[in-house]
Amino acid sequence: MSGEESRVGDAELSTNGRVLGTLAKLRHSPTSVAGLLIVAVLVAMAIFSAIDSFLFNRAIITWLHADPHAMDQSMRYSEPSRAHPFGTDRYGRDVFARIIYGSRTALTIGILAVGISFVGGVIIGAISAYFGGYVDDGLMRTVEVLYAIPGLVLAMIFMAIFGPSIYNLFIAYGIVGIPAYARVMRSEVLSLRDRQYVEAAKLAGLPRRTILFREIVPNGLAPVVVQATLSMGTVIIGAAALSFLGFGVQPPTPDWGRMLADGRTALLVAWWVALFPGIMIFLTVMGFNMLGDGLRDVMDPKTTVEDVGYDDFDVDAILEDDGHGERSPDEGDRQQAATDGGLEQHDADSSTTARGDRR
Amino acid sequence: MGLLRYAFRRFVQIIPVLFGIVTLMFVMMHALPGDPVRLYLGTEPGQELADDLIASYGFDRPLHEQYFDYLVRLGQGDLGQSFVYNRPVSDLIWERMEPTLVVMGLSYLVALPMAIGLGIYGAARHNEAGDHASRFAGLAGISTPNFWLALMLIYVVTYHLELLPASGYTSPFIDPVESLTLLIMPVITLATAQTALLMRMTRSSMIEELRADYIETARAYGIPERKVLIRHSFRNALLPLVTIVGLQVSTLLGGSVIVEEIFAIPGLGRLFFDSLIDQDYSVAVGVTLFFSTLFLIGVVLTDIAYAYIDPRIKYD
Repeated sequence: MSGEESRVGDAELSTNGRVLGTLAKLRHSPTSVAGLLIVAVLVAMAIFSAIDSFLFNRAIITWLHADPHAMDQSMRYSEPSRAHPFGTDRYGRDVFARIIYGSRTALTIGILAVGISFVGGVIIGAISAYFGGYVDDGLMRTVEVLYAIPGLVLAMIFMAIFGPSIYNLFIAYGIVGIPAYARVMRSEVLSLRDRQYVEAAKLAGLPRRTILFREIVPNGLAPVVVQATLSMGTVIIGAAALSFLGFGVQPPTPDWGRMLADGRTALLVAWWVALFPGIMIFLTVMGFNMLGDGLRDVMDPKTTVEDVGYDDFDVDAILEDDGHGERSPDEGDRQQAATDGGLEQHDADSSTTARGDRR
Repeated sequence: MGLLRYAFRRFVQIIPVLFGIVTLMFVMMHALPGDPVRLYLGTEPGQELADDLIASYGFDRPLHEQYFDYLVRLGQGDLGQSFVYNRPVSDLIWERMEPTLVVMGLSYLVALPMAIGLGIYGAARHNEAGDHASRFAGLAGISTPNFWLALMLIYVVTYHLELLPASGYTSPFIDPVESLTLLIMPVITLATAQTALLMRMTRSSMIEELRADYIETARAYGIPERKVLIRHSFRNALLPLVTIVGLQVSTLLGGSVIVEEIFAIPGLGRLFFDSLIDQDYSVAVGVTLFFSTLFLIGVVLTDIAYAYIDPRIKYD
């Protein structure tokens, strides 16, 4: 392990290398490519609606198709037709246009909530594992308290306290998600903190904060990234559930969960109002789950070869990488982490899966 | 003997977590908007009456005293009084418990065998067409929003096929047949995602086990594949599954709020939902505490089951 010392301070660089490498590997898994495509279409839809609504005041979508906010009482609950492919709702608004605009709401909530959980969880988990002792006990008991309350129940209480709005919605889900990330990060840091390069950084006299957040944390991020991708779907479903129950996004903001709530009251007369937003939620979540599955298979050395069915590819890649010395510097560490902290690793896995689908 | 002591210790460990939840709930509920007394009395009540009520519930006292009081009463099993129903919260929880537990129990009863069967099938046919199909179905299952699934079921089964009633609840202990017709759709709604999730778990841990050396040995001895799958690998693959089943209690409890709201089932989820709408916060806290306790007990029971099944785990 002659490269150990040179790794001090290179953490960002190497993570970067691995992210690119991972993306390149993903193309060998049809599921994750499909997932990536779905997510890409969604992001495009969301960006389009954001630009259209902020800069052009919905002029583009009105010109292309229909205004998602325009009410037309003469067109109440009209069936899907050429003019309105997904029909219209109670106020005669075009469901298709509202679905496109709803992608912005869903993705915004998803990204911000996952961002809050990610940052919060990584900081809590890393500090907890690195300092151990009372710090660990205190933080982990707090996390357990949050974990023991069903996610949807906790989110509903948050919304009842702070009032139903899109901002409170992503804050609520951000907090609800923290325990899962904290646990994954904690077990990663536990398996990394006694590595040689950490010793080297200590000997070099780096401050503890630098060692923790610039040397250790970047090397343990992979499973947290997988957790983030997989929980995007759950957060989007959860947020839609809250809006569906009336605790989330409020009208007139186009939101899929809210649209489903409207669809519920009109189920007998207008099935399309409930059908299409639900399909969109399903596709979105499916996209993120497919992508997350692929990412996990590629990033987690324990599942790489077994789970997907591109066995040959992976074995070759590893052999080839070794031979040319091209592999990203921390690949070896990951491999070792999996064997060293077998149990720890396993705990992280199961809690990821469990918590990932908890809401 | 060791197992008993282990079980006892695990149960004792629940207490600090519950204490934390109580504290969190107390703080959050006192941050809730609205004045339950005013709400209870309706608009424009006499000031005297309101003051009397506030004093009788102790709401005029300092927060830390109220908190201490709350803890003492909790210790005596008193969860407080509901403003809306004007009855003790514990009575309400006790009454509403049955529907929730019935729906949850049936969901597990449906989800577990299906998940295990499909998971073993997928692992046995690893990377064949059947496996790919079950993998895709699993992904689709965990990606389906249960509230949407419920609406679609109601639309197709109730409105179009006119097969099952859309909402309501009858106790299976009173009228089993009617109860079953009412329970089918809620159970499908809750069990779909569970089946998919547990199936994925079973499949991946089975695949892992099937690659172990002892499986090769078993096959080399000429033990039939069926027996290798069930007797040898599944017994080991069962361990992670047990943990997940315990953790999933939480998901099902959360899901019960949605399912009971949609299908008008008078259970705890519905009680919780209504209590938030009515700002009847002692009920909301009570149900949340009850849910968390159920979840923690579930986790401890699975831990104990785990320790019992797996001889490698030491009880200390």
